[in-house]
Amino acid sequence: MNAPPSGAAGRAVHTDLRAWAFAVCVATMWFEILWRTARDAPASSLSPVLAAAVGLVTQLAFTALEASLGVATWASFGRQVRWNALAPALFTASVTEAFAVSLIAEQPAWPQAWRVVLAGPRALPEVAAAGPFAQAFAGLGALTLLRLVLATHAHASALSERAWPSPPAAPRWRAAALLVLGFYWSSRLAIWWGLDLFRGRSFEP
Amino acid sequence: MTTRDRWKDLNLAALLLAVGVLATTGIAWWRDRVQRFESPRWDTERFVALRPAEREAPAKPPRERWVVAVSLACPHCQEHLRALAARTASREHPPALAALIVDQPARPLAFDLGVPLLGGAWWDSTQVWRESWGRRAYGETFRFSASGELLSSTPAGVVPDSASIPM
Repeated sequence: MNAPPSGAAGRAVHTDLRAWAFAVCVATMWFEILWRTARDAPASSLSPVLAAAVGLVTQLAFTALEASLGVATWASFGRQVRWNALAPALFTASVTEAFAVSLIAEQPAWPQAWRVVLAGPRALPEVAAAGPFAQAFAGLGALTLLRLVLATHAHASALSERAWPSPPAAPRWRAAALLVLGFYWSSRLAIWWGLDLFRGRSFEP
Repeated sequence: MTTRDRWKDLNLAALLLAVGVLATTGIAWWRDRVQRFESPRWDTERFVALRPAEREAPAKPPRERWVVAVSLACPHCQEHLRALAARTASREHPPALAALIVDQPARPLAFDLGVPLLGGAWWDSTQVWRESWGRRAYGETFRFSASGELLSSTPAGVVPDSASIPM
């Protein structure tokens, strides 16, 4: 594969700065939503600020891990992707999830059907009593689908960065979509199995 | 080794660890699902009575027994037991509410669940709840018929005979 033309490094720095600026804006949104959710929640041992900080750090840690796993997976297929390019873009994609959390927790005057379409069945109070499989996939709504599309875009863009000439868009998007869906399904499976193990045969007839 | 190589190794280690955790969880889940457990049935001979159940007058119709799996280290499930007692106390024919103390290796000598229990308090000394019934969620409420057959089992925070109504 040929080297990118001169000037590409400068453009990459500029793109990185822009990506991190977006990520900082999203982090601020996450903090505010988590703080409001913690403030309105029933009594907790943590103060709303501390609860929001813990939630934000957890979100950042999971995104960092997701980017690491993405970089390593691409590397195992012989493709080079920079963590610095992927991590902020993935975190920015989580803005849809922040919106879903605010839709559920703050209970605005949105019709229930809209909330379920956007945030998934987790917007229904009954989901707390549902089985582990239903709970693992309870977040599957339009906003999650949008996050998956944005994450696919993040991977596809990161894939094109190091390759010159840039590979065609369609195969890049296909590969990126497969990876994002693979990660999503793996995480849901882990949650399903973990919840199932945690509760054993409880609540079964 | 350069810094880039170290990051590469770290990313690879994270990937291998994630795949390992997923595979281990999957195997553990599969092994758990193929295991056979008994269907719960209330049999007083399998448990140790810590507080006796109240005797019913022979003329009264037999009542259901609601048994809450309680861990003495779990304030949430004890709170559920008290909420259930408060919720059913005003009924004309309340169920016999009982506590089944689980995951307690030694016989509890002094404990206060903060509620009178018509169905008594029982110690699961032989881990029937966990090992024979395969149950793991504290606060789970078993609704047994007067003859000991399981009618339903519901999580904490739910009234067993009206599961759609959260407490």
